[in-house]
Amino acid sequence: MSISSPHFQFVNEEDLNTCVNCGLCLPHCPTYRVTGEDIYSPRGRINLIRSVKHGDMELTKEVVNSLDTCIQCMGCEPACPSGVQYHNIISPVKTEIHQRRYWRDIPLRFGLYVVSHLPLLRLLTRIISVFQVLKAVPKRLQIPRVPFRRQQLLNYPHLSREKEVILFTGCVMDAWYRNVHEDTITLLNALGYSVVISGDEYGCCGALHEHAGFTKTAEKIQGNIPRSTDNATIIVNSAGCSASLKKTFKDSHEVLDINEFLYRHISDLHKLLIHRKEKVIIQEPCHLRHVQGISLEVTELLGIAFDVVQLDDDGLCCGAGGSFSFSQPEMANAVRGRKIAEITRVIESISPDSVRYVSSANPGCLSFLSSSAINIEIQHPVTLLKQSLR
Amino acid sequence: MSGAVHINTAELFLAGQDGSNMMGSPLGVCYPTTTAEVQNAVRWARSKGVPFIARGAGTGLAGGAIPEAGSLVICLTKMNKIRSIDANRRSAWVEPGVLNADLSRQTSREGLHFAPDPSSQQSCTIGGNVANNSGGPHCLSEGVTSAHILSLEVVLPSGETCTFDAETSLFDLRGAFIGSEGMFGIATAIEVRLVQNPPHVATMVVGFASVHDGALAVSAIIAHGIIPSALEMMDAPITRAVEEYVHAGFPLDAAATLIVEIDGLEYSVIDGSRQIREIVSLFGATSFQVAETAVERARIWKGRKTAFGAIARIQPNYYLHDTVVPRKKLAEVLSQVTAIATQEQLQVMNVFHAGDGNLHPILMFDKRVAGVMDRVHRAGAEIVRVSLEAGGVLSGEHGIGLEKRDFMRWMFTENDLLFQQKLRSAFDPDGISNPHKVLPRGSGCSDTASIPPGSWI
Repeated sequence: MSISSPHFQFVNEEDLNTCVNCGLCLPHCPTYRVTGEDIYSPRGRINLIRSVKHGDMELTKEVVNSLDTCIQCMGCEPACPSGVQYHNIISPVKTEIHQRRYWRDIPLRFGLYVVSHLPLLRLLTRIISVFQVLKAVPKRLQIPRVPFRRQQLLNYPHLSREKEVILFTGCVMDAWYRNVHEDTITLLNALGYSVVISGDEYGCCGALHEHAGFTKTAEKIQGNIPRSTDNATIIVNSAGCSASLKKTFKDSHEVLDINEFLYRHISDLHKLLIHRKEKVIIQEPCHLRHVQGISLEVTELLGIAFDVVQLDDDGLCCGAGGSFSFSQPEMANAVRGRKIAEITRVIESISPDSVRYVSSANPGCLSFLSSSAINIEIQHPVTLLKQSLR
Repeated sequence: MSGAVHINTAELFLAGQDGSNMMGSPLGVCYPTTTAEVQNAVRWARSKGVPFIARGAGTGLAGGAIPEAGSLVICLTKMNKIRSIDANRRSAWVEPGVLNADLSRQTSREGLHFAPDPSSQQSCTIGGNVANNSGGPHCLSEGVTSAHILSLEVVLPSGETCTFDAETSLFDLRGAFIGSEGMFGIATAIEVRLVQNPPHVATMVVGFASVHDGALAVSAIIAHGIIPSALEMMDAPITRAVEEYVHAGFPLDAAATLIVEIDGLEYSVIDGSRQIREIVSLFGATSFQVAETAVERARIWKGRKTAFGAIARIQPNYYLHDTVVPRKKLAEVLSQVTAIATQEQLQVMNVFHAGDGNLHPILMFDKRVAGVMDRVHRAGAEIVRVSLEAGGVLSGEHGIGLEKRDFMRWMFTENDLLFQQKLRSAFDPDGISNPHKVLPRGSGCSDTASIPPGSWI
C-alpha cells in the first residue's frame, strides 16, 4: 500500500503511465550501454521515480545516484514506441534533487555561476590558459586548451537589411571557441547575409543551468535575455544553446541552429564550397540529433566538402552532457570511452591516415572529446565548411 | 562494478521485473563478467541453498525472468563481447549478454547476420534468445533460434561447466537446453550460425478489406510454394496506432495489413513479387505497395516490431498474448478473440506472424481500474482455450515462464509433464535454477510451491 511521499510530486502521473516497461529504450541509453545495469537505464529510472513518487520506495542514495547519472541526452525519446516524454519526467526530478542538497553542489553551482557571468568567465579563462602553459591544470578537470586572448570579431560589412541575422554568441562558445563565431560570420557573409552580433547584452542562454537542474537560475537568465524589436532570425552555433533558445524565443523570434540554417541554403553552398577529398567523421551532439531532430542535414552539408564517415553507434552521447562531465566524471568518462572506441574502430577500418577530422556542432562535445586521449583533430562543422570555401 | 552482489532496494526492485506485468522479490543481483564468475555465483547460491535465475535485458513477456522470492539474480549483461567471428565457417562465438541487433550489425560488415529477429531484437540478448528459443518475423524461412546455435558452453546448476554441441559429445543436448527458459543452467558462451545477407529484398505492404481475406491470401501464398522470408499481419487498430508513430505509409483504410518480404537473387525476387501480387489480388487485396528503398523497408519493420509499445498511446497497460493456431484457422480464431475481448469489455488489437499462425492479441487496459486485472486474466485464459481447441499450442515464441505455466495441463498429459520434469531433474536435481517456471505445480517432487498471490500485478 502506498504512503504519501513528499518527493517528485511535480512529475506528471500520465507521463509515468506512458511507459509500458518494454525495454526498447535500453540500447539507446549511453549509461545503460556502458554498465548493463537496469538502474542506469531510462526504464529503470522511470520505475524508481514512480515508486518514490508513490511512496513505495525511499529516496535512497542508490536512487539519487541513478537519477544523477542520467545525462539527459534524450536518446531514449525517439527510440520509445510509446512516446514517453522522458524530459518531462527527469527535469523536475533533477531540479528537486539539487534543491535538496545545497552544499554538495557548491562546485557545480560555482562553475555555472562563472559561465553566466561573462567578465568572470573571461578572467578565469585567462588564468586557466596561463596555468595550462605551465602545465599546472590537473588533467581530471578535463578542460581543453583555452585561448589567453580572445580573437577579435572584426567589423563585417553590412550587406543588406533584408538579409540580416543575429548571431547568438553565448558564454563558453564566445570565451573558448570564438574562432567558430568568426567562421560562422564568414560563411553567413558568403551567403549574402549581414550578421549582427548578439554580444554580452544577450549573455548566456541558461541551457547549462536548466540541463543541470537549476531551473530557477535558468529562468532568471532566460528572463534577462533582451527580446529585441528586430524580428531577425537568431542563429546559434552551439547545439545545446539552439535547443534551449528555441524555447526561450518561441513567441518572438525564429531561432535556428547554424546547421539548420545552412541546410536551407545548401544549393548555394554547393556553388561556394570545394570538395577537399578528405574524410570526416561526424559525432552528432544529442541536442542536435535527439532533441532537435537534426541529423542528416549535417551529413549532407559536410558531404559537399568531405567524404563523410558515419559512426555506427546509434548516435549515442559522448558523455559531455553540459556540466555532466564535471559533476559525474566517472560515468562521463565511461561513456566517452565507448564513443572514442567507436571512432577508433571506424578510423582503423578505413585506411587510418585518410580520416582527418571529427566534427561536432556543440562546445561541450568539442571540449570533452578534445580533452581525451584521442589523436585526431576535432572541429566544429562550421569551421570545416569555412575552410572549404572556394 | 562487477563481482559484488548488490542488495540495495532500488536494484532489487528493478531486478524483480521484466517486460511482463509480473513482479518478484530477489535476494540479490550480481553482474558476472566471466564464466568463472558465473560459476562462483552459482556455487555460492548452492552453498546457501538459494535459488538463482539468469537475466538478460529483461524484455521477456511471459515472466520467465521474474525471480522466485529470495533468489539470486545473475544478470549477464556485462558479458557482452563478441569473442570471434569466423566468416568462412559463417559462425561467431559470443557471450550471452550480446544484444541480438548488435550481433547482426557487427557481422553485417562480413555480409552476414544472425537470423532470429524477435521484435525486441534491438534490446534483447542472445542468451535470452537461447533460453526462450526465440523466433521473429524472419524465422519463417530461416527457422527459430534452435536452428542457429552450433555450440553452447554452459554452467550447470551444479556449478560445473560443460559444452553442448553436435561433434564432441555423445548426445547432442543443444536441443534440450535451447528453450529451457533458464531451468537447465546458464549459457556463458554461445556459438551462433550466421546466414548471408540476402542480395535482393522486396518488402510489400498489402491491404485487405477483412482479416479473413488476408488470412486466406496467406494460406494461398504458402500453398503456392513460395516461402517468403517474412509474412506478418496487423489489424486496423494497431495499424493506425503504429502509422501515427512511424509514418511508413501503412494503409489506414484496410481492415488488415499484410507485410510480405521475399529475398534472394534479383530475378527470383522480381518473379516472386509478381506472383505474390497476383495471388493477393485474387483474394481481394485493396492496396499493394512495394518498399523502394532500404529506408522505407526499415520504416515498415520498425512499425511492425515496435507495434506493441505503441499501445501506450491508447491505454497505459497491455497484455501481449502469444499462441499458435493452424494457418487455416487464423480468421476463425481471430473473430473468437475479438468476441472474448468484447465479452470482458477490453480493447484488443492484433499483430501476428501470419506465416506460421502465431497470434499476438494485445489486450489493452488501465490497471488502475478496479477489477480490470481479473478480466484481463480471464480473457487471456480464454484465448489460450480457443487456440488449443483450434488445434494450436500454448506459445509461439514468448515461452511459458510464469504466464502460461498453469495452462500446461490444458495441453499436456500428466505423463508428458512427468517426463519433462525428469529431464529437468537430470540437469538440475535440486530445482534451484529458475525454479517454479514452465512446469506446473505438482508435476514433480521439487516443484511444489505456488506463486505468491501478489506476484500478478
